[in-house]
Amino acid sequence: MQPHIHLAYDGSINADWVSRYALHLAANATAKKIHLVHILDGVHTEKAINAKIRAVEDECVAEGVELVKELRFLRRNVYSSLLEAIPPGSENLCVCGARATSRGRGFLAGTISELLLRRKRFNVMAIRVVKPGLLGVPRELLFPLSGHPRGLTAIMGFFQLMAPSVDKIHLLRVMHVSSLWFQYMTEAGAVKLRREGNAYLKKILDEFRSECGESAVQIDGRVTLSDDWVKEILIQASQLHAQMIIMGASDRNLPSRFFYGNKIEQILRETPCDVGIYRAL
Amino acid sequence: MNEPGRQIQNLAKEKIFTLLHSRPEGLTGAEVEERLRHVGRNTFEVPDRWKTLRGLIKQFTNFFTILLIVSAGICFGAHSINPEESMDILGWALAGVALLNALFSFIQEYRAERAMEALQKFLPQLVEVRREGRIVKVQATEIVPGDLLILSEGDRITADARIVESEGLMANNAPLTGEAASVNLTAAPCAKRLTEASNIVFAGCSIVRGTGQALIFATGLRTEFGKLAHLSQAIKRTPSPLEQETAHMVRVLTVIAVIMGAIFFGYGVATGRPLWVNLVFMMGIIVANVPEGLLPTFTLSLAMGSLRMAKKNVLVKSLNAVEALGAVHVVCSDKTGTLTMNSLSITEITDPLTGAAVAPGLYRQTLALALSASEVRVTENGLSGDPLDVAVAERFTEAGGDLAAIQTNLRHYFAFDVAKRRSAGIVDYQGKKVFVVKGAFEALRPMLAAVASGGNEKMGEGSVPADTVSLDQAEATMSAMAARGLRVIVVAFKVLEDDLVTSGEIPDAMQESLEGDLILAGLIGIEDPVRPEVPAAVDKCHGASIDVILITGDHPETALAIARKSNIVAPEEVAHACAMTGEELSSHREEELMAKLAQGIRVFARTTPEQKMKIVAALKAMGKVVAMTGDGVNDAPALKAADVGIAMGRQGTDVARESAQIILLDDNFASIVAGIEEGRCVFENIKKFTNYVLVSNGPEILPYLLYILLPVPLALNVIHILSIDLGTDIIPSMALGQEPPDSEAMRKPPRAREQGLLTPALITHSYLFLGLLEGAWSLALFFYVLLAGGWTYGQELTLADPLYRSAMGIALSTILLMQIGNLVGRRFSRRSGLDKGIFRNRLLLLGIMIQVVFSWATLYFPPMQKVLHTGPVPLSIYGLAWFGIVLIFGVDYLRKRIMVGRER
Repeated sequence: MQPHIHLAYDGSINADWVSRYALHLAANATAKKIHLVHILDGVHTEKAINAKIRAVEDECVAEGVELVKELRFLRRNVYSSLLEAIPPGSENLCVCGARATSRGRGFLAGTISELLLRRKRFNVMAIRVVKPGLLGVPRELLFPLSGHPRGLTAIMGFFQLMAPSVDKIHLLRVMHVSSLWFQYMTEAGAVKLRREGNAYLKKILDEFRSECGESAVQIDGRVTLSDDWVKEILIQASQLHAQMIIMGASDRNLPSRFFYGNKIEQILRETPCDVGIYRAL
Repeated sequence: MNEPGRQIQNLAKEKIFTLLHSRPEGLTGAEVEERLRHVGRNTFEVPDRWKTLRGLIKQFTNFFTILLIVSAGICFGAHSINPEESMDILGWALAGVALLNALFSFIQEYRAERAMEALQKFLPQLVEVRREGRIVKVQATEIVPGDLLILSEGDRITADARIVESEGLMANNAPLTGEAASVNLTAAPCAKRLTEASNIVFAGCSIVRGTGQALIFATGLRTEFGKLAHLSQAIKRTPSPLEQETAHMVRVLTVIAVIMGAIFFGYGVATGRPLWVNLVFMMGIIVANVPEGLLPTFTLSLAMGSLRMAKKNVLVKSLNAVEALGAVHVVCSDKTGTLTMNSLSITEITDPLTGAAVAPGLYRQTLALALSASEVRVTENGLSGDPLDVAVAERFTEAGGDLAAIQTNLRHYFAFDVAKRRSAGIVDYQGKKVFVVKGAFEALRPMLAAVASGGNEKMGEGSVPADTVSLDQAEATMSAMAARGLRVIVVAFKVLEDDLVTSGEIPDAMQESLEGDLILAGLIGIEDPVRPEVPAAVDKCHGASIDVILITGDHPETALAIARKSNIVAPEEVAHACAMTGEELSSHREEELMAKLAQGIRVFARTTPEQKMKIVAALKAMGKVVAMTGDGVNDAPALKAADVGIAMGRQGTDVARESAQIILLDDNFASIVAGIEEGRCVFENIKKFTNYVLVSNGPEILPYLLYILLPVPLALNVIHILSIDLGTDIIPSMALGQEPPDSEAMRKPPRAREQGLLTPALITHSYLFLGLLEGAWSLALFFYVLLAGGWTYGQELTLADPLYRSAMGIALSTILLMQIGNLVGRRFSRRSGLDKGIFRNRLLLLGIMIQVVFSWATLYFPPMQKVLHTGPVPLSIYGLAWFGIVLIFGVDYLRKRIMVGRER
């Protein structure tokens, strides 16, 4: 089932850039509809917000997407106001932005997007846009695979919305080896790890094909060994000319403390392309 | 491809301003500020203020350095307990070695980071943008998405931008694509992918002609050039095989030293010896086990190897690459300039249908038409322009054509389009206006209406309709030419109506409307001959079980022909078994590519520079040591990812040269092979002197074991050990590092990545065979002197006792002399070592001389006696020490003979 798309819009230029992703997803959905939610928290005047939303609406009209806007007054805080505005359930997908500027606080840590990802009330896609010129239509996606037994199941619904405009998907399985062991690893050990990685990759590819069929999307898969999986993802993103990195989030890598050392934060900070952090119910 | 895109290149320019929240007047200051906060500065470097310090500290964290520093600390501790032993000297010596090693490694690593500097130099510091309606010059780092970039001839682009205004814009994208020919740029929407679009200018590229404006949509690391820069910074070269093997050896020796030291320290404490005695003893064991001089000797040997390589046109930037080159399993080579001469010459012009050479008149006419779709400038230094265009002009002049007349009559030139793979021109020729297209056959085929044949010199007469039969026939002719290693370009034309092209300006957009109903005039075969020394060099690689892989952007047939001429593939091998195109390559997953490589794919045609990375990654995943050549800016990541990155000295860019470890001064493949031979020789020599140095560890350890287990005096102190390890053994080790290559070096397969330097056989031979022998003979003479002097078993001797000093002197002197026999024997693994050439290695003679002089000075030269606490012995006993040379050499030679006998 295709999800209903809700856009958490804060009126910043970053939100405008993120809105293109929501627009693009909605344009590929059968409902062709976006529910835009803005919480009037006093940062922007209502007039200014309406003008900005009108611009988003114009883009929606051009793409044949219906925009339903909802301006809500602040209740307690922006987060709880958003929770009231977006209905719970796996049929809903909330598109929101990562923090536009880190300023020493991180891009996701402590943001409303992080709270939404943690809350698990609906599906959430938090996006950091660094290349606004892509206009929310990345054609080459990089999916780093964590080795989770669920594979791509969680992300499939989201992917199906992206698929019509995607040319190529790169699946990347980074086999993580501790730094101490990595430098002393034998060739036989490396071969064994690669074999494990390739077996997992094959399983995911089979799963992908059975879900999506033999689509027009070209799928590439590679296995690498590294003692720093974040760095490896960033290298591969540059090397493969990926236009967006899509990663699944889990509680393990969403600690609000020590965010600067957090792996996801590192990717958001150093990414060469847009990044989407996804969490499905 | 999926649905037509909605990316920035696909949309009309009016829409772009809205979507990027910009306007033709440019951004305001406040908007620039906000965006700078959002996406950061337009810079390619990830700021890291602690990088240098971290790099330096890292050098002090390896096993060897930690061991030396801890040992130095123990020495200083021992010195403070008992200053009479002068352990502080040893402490300073160990600390000095640790510091030198760490600093040297740091400098090596620091130098390798210079690729980034070369990339930064690629971009200008100031850039013109339109802001708030005015054109202003701003720092390139301060531009943001939405800024309107002003473009003019000669500008280097600083960010990725969508063109919104173009007045004859033409850009050179070579830094990104590797394609030397310039491309036309327009402001019109384009249906292609972002990286192939004709309305995008990319950071790092330059404007060669025209003016225009472009709206920036990506800055810094998010540009395509930024991704290259990121890869150049982020990819760390994997340690070379020698580095890995050295690290392994150091680990093993350190563990042995520490365990032995700790066990005997514990034993000493348990048997009630004083603490400082145990500390000194433990230090002795550790110092005896660690070959302090070995790592500096490695470095010296590699440095000498690099000097020898430089004489063979192989300039080594990173010393580890000297040996790594010798360990390669695969060499991935470019074609142009490396395997070939890079001198294009037209060798034939053929009739498309018959495949026969055309008559001289038609020959000149076809060249004239080809020249009309070329851009050649006459300069003081001769003709300049694209090498292919220059080759056409040169051959046209040689054939009696008037170059100036063609250039005067050229009405318009449509620049070469990389994606379309063709260029075009409109020329007044033979009183007619003629539109000419020159390019790849595949690109022109759909535009053809007729095929010229029969050698008719009247333009268009005698041609046959371009139906499937004639076109297939023309393609077969083209393939046959390509199969002979020729690069084939086709020339097609059509005569224009007089009023179609008026005297005014001809817009570039007209090209597309003219490209139809063309007559195929002829096929031009261009040859870039294979360098004469290449086939033999490739054969040498094959003899050494090294695979050679050709990676080129050329047509598969041409690539295959060059591969055949170079002996990379055998003449009878079929294309599908040994060649792959870039398109196929991009459709294969890494695992599938590995399977294809294992099956014997050795030619990659029509590939892009980025695909080199994929090939390197697959080969490395197969456990191969890979050498990769490259010359362009976009080759930098692949050069860093390969085990050995080789840049071209003549054609290469600064970025490629800074990213590589080796620079080929003559761009010649044969020089790589010469370098491999030298690299193999260096490794063999390193094995020889490692063996040599470890032999002396035996007689250094043995006295300490006897001293702790039995009531006997210590035959060697730590100063004696250091005088061997950091003194007399250095020059002989370097001499072994100077030994010439074995004639068999290039007939053996490369060693496996797993094969270590410190093999069980080498340990056994060094410690348990020659080491034991050397230890036994030196201790035998030590005890002989003691007993002859009246010493009784269990009697303690002081350091000042002349008898003890003489006994220590003969022990040290014997070891020094026996190292001569060891040195000569190490020259060959199966031959005696007294073979031809021994007197040509002057360092070897010097090494022998040093051992002789020091053995004498130890016993008979008072200043040396004072430093080493040694004393003289009768000459007859010194003669027995000399006998040690014959003993060690003879016993080892006997072993060699037995081994040879067994191998037979």
